[in-house]
Amino acid sequence: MIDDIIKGVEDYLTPNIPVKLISQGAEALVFETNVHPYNPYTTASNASYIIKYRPAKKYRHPSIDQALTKHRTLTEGRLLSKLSNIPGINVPQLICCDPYNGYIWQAKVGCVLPNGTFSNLKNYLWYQKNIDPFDEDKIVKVLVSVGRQIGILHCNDYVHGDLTSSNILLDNNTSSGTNSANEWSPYLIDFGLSSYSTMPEDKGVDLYVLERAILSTHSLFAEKYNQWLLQGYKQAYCEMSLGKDDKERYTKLEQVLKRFEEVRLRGRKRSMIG
Amino acid sequence: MLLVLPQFPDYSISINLFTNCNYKGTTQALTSCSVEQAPRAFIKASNIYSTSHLLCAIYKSFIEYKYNRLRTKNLSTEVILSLYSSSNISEAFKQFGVNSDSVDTDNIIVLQIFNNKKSESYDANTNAYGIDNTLLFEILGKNSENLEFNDANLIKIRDISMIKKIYKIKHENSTNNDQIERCIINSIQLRGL
Ligand SMILES: Nc1ncnc2c1ncn2[C@@H]1O[C@H](COP(=O)(O)O)[C@@H](O)[C@H]1O
Repeated sequence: MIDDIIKGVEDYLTPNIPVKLISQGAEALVFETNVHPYNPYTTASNASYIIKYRPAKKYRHPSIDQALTKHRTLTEGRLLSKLSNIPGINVPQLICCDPYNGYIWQAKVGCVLPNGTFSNLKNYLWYQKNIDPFDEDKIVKVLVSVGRQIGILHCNDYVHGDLTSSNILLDNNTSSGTNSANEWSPYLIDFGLSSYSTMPEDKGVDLYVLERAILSTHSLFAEKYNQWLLQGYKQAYCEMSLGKDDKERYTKLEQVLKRFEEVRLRGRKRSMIG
Repeated sequence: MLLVLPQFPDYSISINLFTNCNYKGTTQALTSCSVEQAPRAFIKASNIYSTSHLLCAIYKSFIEYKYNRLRTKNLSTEVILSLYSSSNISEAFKQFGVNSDSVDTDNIIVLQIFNNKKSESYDANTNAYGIDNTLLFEILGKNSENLEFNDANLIKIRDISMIKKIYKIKHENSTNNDQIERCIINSIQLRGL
């Protein structure tokens, strides 16, 4: 099954674009390649591109399936485009897309950590607490900056929809000039389920999903980690509130936090019953 | 420059940048300078921000051609539509195409896309611009100069304020070159979908 799908991808891309499968999720396969789809000038020796492919689902009616694939691919593309226009938000650059076949190309972000794992937030937290659990400075910095990303996202009325600690990548791209060595910039990825929303509930759910993710993989330190995330989150709201409508933004923050609390309680009740 | 996109190896793309043109042609002249197997498109070079800008529109045209449908006559002209930020064909040709009222166009990109299998007459080794060159130079003017299509040459001739207007790029998004190019690529890739 999976071999057939990979074969299909290779046929689509032709042998001129060799790919490596790096992730296989319920919704999409993610490949990596070092060939740029259209600009040979940018194919630097160490450049890397991400190809995300949403395969057809056999159990869906073909025309519904095609419409859904196109919709999800475009949602992701549109979000990458919209968010790249919001100052302060980091998302991978869209390179091209083929919504008719479910392909989207984007720039690769992140790197391999010294322990051999990929630099998403989840792996980074494992890595960092294993080398020095008391070097809190580094972790605080990262988590506050991750919280800020989410704060800016929500402040601009976008919600992620699947905010896990593997959908937050840390990049130490020093060539961007804004970054000194050892500084991590968080990038948000995977926008297939994202949307524009003004509802505090949706934002509360985003925060809850991330909190659960941290809790389940880093239970010992989770409480602190989540505090730092929230610290960055609030910071973003406050920074963005310096304008004339700051009072309104502040109320918005309070509404989200209230909802977050409610979603949490609901979750707790459910787990007590279930 | 003669280029093949890795995903579409059956086609060759020839891109030539001309500066110092003294364009006097009519639409009719432009048409007659195209040949059937390898139609030419004439593009206002000053509205092209970078190599990625044009190449990303070419890639999009191939995707439409192969998996959806062309909205214009052929692949070369489709690139002009793909360059534009909306699906309005006549606006696209006005902004990016060279036509009878482009009398002051100094910088022109001549684009040809042809199927390798069907175009034996095209000899890339001896003749970079393909067939009908006499006519081509009549249209572009005797003094026109052929530059290499690359970022360094495009930077010299691009009209940034015009480009920002076409793509409705706001001031806060044009703080650096990367960001402008990014806005352009986003709008080309998502246009009309
Ligand atoms: N732009 C990207 N840069 C680097 N890795 C990525 C990128 N997009 C996706 N991935 C990897 O592919 C996995 C699945 O992607 P996704 O389906 O978008 O969540 C992620 O957890 C990452 O490891």
